Amino acid sequence: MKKKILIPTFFLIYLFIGLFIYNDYGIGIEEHFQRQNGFYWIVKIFSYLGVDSIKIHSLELYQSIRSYDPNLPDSNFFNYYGITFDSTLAFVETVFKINNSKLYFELRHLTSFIIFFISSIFFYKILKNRFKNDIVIYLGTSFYILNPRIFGDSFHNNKDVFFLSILTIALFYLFQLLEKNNTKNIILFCLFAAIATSSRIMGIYLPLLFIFFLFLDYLSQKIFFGNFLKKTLTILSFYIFFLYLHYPYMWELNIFKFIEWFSVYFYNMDLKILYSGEYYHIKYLPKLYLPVWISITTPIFILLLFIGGYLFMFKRFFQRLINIKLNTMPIHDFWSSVSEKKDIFIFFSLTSFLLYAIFLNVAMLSGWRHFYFLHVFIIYAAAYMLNLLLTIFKKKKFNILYFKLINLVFISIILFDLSSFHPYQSLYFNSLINKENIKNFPVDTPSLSRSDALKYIISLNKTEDKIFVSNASWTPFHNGKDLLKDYEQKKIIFVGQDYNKADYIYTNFNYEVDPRLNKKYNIPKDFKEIKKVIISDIPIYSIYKRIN
Amino acid sequence: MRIFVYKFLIIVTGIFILYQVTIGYTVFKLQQKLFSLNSKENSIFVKDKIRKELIAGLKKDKIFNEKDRILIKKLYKKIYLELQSLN
Repeated sequence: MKKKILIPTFFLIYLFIGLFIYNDYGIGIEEHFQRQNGFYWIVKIFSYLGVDSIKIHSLELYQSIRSYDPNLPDSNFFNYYGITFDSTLAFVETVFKINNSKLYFELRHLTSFIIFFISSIFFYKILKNRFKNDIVIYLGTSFYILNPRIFGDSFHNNKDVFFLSILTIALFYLFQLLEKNNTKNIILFCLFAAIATSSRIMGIYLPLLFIFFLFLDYLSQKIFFGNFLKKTLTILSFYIFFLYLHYPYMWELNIFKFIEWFSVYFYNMDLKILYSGEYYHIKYLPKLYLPVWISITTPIFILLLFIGGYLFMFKRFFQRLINIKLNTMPIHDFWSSVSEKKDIFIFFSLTSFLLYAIFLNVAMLSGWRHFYFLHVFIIYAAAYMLNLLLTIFKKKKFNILYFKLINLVFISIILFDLSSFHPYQSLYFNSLINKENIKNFPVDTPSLSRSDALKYIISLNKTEDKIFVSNASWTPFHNGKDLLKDYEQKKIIFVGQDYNKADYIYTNFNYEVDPRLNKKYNIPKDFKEIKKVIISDIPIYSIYKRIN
Repeated sequence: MRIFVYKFLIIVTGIFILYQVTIGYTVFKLQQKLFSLNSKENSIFVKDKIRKELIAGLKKDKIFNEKDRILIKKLYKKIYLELQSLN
């Protein structure tokens, strides 16, 4: 009875907190482009369907975005990801004729949060089906929700966290499929795997790895070849069907130019980013870029559990590997139970993506947000470790209360960090980063502070008709005004890096050039810093005012 | 068949990792270096360096030492004579 109330209460509290704070967040750096992409898709889809009314209205909106901000990336080129979220939101915006920029960006934030909220329920179910122990399930679900960077991004990162959410749901159905091979599970798995793929191409690994696992089953003589072939074909058919159904990028592909299908996914910008005190081209980042970023932005407690869990998974896998014997099954194989098979699936997924990121020169920027989907594997590994620790506690007959207390302390620390960083949880760094070494890493890469900075400048100039603002950082500052009220937006005039014309200069310390060598973002001497936002030694943004 | 496939997969993964940490890493370092040499910041750095050296040189009483002066004078004379011989 207690359990029946506890879980819904937990999720209800989380939902209410999300609904209460979703409009505190700034606009993410990609949101304008994604909004534009949504209309691009809508125009495409309704052109195919021949529905002119929606198509014409969406086209007008698409063109108005292009003319308002011609610097946004061209949707005709970047037309290969993000269809589900962006086009749905663009459709809502078109049908309900939402004309207020503040409203449509807040709607995006709310939707993004709700999708992540739903995914957290699926993650709870994944843990519940795997671990059976309530403490592990509750803690694991809490970690999934409360990891500060993911918590913050769940409100504004409609691409990477959306992909993480869909991946989690797809993973749930994949695990269901491992338990019970029926049509319902196949269809739901393929549906969510297809949505994941159209959001980020990485989603393609889901059916492929699943088929690889089927192949291992066949090798272990758990299924016949005919059965393996039938299952593979069924999975691929449903997957391609769902992908084709909702992904216009596929509609225009030339079947004879297979190689070209994937070439677009390997495009990268000619850009340099700050990492560990040096500026690197995004295609030639140091090999440890991803592991280091994960290590400095994940709460230490979760990080340690993850490392422990991953090492124990590796140990188990290695032991299984060296003990494989030809005629003694099923014990002497990669797995002896469905639970173990799930663990191996997570281990394979995580290892493959880490090796991919480390060895294959993957272009990355803005920290590790392109790999935020690893969060689901990281937390699964952490829960795996918790489960092991709890088993040890029980074996040694330690009091479980201590185990609960230790975890409660760490959860409280994470909660404290979440509240102190609000609404900049996306810029969280753990205690490995301090006042000195924070200079070596970029902070406000999603440009979340833009709107807050503008609101502050407006609050200082309530009676002014025009306020000239400049931007001393590599961030599309002008886009931050879309969270302001209409009359406030009209007051602000953006002058780029033309500091002579500016009344105020904003910087979030994010640069695409090395400021030690290139002086274009140097603040002129006739400006004085009037505001600097620092959270736990992490500088978020500064505002300077002309002094004469 | 099963053992063969497992061994094959392990060997392929092993070769991939071995290649990446040896030859792959050397190639990667070279590419990384090339990109940093090519960069705008690097050319700005070189320009600044030359500018600083010129300013420092102008502040001195004599830019060249005795040996260099003789060498440059000889070179100048030779170039001058060669150019004169053109006509």
